Amino acid sequence: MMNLRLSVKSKILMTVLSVVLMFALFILFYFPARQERYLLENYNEEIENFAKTVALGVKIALTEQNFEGVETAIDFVREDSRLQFVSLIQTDTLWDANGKSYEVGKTVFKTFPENVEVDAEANSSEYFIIKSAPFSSPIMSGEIMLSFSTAEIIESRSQIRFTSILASLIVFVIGLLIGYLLARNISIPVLALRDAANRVGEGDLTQSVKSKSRDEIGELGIAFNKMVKDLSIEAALEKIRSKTMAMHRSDELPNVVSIFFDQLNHLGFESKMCSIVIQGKSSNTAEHWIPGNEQATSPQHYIIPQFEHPFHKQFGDLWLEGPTYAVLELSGELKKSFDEILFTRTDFGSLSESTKEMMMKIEHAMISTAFMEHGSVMSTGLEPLSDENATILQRFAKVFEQTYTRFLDLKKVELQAREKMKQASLDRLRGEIASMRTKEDLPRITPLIWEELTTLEVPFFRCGVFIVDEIQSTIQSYLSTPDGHSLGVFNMPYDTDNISKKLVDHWRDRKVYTEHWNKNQFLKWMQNMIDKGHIQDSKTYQGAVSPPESLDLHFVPFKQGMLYVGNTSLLSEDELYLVKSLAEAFSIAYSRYQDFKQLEEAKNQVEKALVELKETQSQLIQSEKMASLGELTAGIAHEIQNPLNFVNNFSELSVDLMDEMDEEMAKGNNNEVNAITKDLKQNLSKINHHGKRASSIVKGMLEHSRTGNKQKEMTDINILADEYLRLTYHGLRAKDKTFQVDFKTELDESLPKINVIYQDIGRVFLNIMNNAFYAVSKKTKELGNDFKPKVTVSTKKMSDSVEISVRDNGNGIPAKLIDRIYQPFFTTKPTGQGTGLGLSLSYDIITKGHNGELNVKTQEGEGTEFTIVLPQ
Amino acid sequence: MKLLISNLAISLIIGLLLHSPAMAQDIELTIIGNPESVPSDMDMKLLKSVLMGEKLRWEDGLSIKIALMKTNTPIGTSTCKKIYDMTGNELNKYFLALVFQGKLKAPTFFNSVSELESYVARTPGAIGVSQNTTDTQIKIILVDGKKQI
Repeated sequence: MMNLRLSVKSKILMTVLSVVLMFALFILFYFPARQERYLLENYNEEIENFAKTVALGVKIALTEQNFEGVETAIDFVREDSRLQFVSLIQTDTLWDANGKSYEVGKTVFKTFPENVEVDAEANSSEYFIIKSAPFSSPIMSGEIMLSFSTAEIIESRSQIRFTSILASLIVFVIGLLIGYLLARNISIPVLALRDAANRVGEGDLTQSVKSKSRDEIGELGIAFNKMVKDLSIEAALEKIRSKTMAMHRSDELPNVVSIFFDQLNHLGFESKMCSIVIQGKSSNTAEHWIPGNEQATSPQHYIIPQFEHPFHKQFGDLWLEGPTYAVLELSGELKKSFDEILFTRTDFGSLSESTKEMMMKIEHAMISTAFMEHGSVMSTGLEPLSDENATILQRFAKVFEQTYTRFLDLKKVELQAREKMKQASLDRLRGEIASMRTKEDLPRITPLIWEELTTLEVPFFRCGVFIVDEIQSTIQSYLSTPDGHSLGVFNMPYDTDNISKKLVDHWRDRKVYTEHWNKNQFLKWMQNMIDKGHIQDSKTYQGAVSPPESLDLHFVPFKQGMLYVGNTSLLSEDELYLVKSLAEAFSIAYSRYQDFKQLEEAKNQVEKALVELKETQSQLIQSEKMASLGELTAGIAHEIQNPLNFVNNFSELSVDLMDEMDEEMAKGNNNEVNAITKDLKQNLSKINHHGKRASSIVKGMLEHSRTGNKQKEMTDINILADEYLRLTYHGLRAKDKTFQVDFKTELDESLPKINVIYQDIGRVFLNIMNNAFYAVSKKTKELGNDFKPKVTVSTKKMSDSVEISVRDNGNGIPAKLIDRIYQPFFTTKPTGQGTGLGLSLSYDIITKGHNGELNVKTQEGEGTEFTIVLPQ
Repeated sequence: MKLLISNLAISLIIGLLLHSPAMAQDIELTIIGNPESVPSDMDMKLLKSVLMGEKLRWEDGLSIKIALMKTNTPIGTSTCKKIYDMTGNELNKYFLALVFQGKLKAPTFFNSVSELESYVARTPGAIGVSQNTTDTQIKIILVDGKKQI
């Protein structure tokens, strides 16, 4: 089967031709046949009506004797050229002879024209039509028979056929023409649609077809254009959405805004008259995005403060109502005043003159506004947007709402990341500064600040720290070189220059101080620094870079001074906030540094004081030793006196014996000599013994007062206790001859030697025994001779220790003082009679020096017993 | 024919019943005419010729318009009898034949004398058969010198 491919045009043409041909055939055959039939029927009907009319007239004429009707009817018929004849047929009922059956007889009563012979039973033929109409009256019954010629019918039939042929031809030609035009009218837009659809399919969404006709093809074209426009709108929105989703940093928002305006422009919006306004409902400023111009291809961003103007109020009130779309009108004086404020008091003043002129030129502005949560998208023009464009604007606003939400999310994430980075940076700063210990560490400050400012992405090329010293009225300056190194530390008096004065004033007010310098001011400052000798030369200060053409100095206050950041332009609020955070962290860390520094100084002072105290304590101990030595002196002297007496006596006796021996030798009395020699030996032995004894006492005295390291030695505690008891007693007796005490020892003979520093234990015995004798002496003075003072020293071997007890029957220690007796410098003795260190030292010697115990039992008025427990 | 005869008989009986007064006396007829064109007197022959439709126009060329009382009125009955010498039906057939063939302008029949006289008075060339008339707008035509026939 042949696969014939016909174009739409051909199909339409063929269809139309088929229809036209059928119609032509209809006109050629069916229509004339039909017409002839109708004609004939009508002709018959017309003749019949004539007959009926005449019959009615006849009936009336015969019944009511009104002949005008029949006259009128017959006149009407008679004047018709087609009439052949009209006859009045009389009908009679003829009964047979029997009167049982009848037949109807018809006779021609009258005929017009008279000369026509009419057969009452005549019928129609091709050439004439005969119609009869009956009538009945009391006078006569019959029929009116009319005969009309068909000549006109025949002639009309020919005319109809001729007309049909002609009409069919005309119809055919016209149909052909219409078919051609129709096919052309249909095929052209259809083909245009096909081509446009193909191009749309290839991605070209700028296609549209012209729809001149209002038929279905026109509607199809309109629908196609609408579909393409919808597609292009959706594609435009999708581009914005894609760009939005591809946005990974908040600073990419201008790119999306640029796409936004581009897409609006592609959709036929005059993008120059479009804008995006971002505004919080409680914010005092609004962000305005407008498309780029000839100078700036990227969209321009302005932050405009809210100002008092009726239009602003109208806009704000409307926005708070929460519509999705509205058209605001701004015209006349209201617009002029609005433009004036906009271009003179806001950043819109920096718009290009052509843009400003264009905006001001519109005297009657219709601002079509699609609202969104964070603001609105506006299109300004002389007329409001069409419904279609208003819908597009609202769709764009919805998509931008998503864009801005993503922007805010990114901003939030970045803020969090930045906050983390900031915290890490601040932690590093704190750590670094906390590690500073000395002044030599301070030059590390500026590189540190440099590094952290860089980390925090604060724009700068110089930084530093100014520490204000209110006591000295100076500013300690730590400045960086342009490459981040420390320029050194130098002091400036407050009144160094205007900058330093303002710096201090702002610091006192805790306010940020900013100053703008041009190149000359910078050079002047540098020269001033060189002149004052703070820096060597300009190369040191500037480094390799040339002097800045513009320098904005920012001084951010903190507790101890100002953090300085120098940049080519003013820092933003966010950047300044970071610098403030850095300054606060620096302040805390610097406070710690200062605290540490003060602590170090305090520590040094304490250590110095401790050394001095130790020296003092040592002196005191020595003094106490010497004091106790003084107390012993009398006893020692007494103790030494005895051996010395022996030595003297025996030496004197020996001298006498020597004289006697010389005499006996001279006599030759050898026996006597030998006996005297023997006595001499004994004497010498005794002298030696008592000499050693004296030597031992002196040695002990020296040991008592000796300073420095002392070694533990195996010591007989019984001997030591006995010795110090007597030394103490005699010492006191030397001072007071009336002093009489019954003292005794109860020494455990089985007491083993133990390893002690006997000098220290001797001092302990001395202190405790001295106190015991002092107590009984005092009580004796209070009670008189009735009181029998008694001091007993006893020793006792314990399982793994030895116990030494010194017991007196003095007044005892008051309960309220018992807790203080071991405190250094605590004494109940009169001034000058006690250092207050005796028991304190004794306690330390026993417990710390010998790991022993020093216990006291006392009863007020009855006496006191000190017990020393020393481990074996 | 039998049917015709019976019809005639029935008509005769009905005519007798309805017009017995008329039938009872012979009405004097007056020929009246519109003053215009209609001659004031004529003979019976002319009268019959005019009323039979044989004469279609007056002397001045004005067409003759015949006005008669209906045949079922006493005057109409008398007219049929005295002037036409026909029954009412015959008269109707007579006029039907003439009118049918276009030989005569259809005469006008009236139910009342006043209507007839009024017609004659306002219709130029009109001639009618009435009874004693008092209408001054018409003229009484003498027939054979007599006002009544």
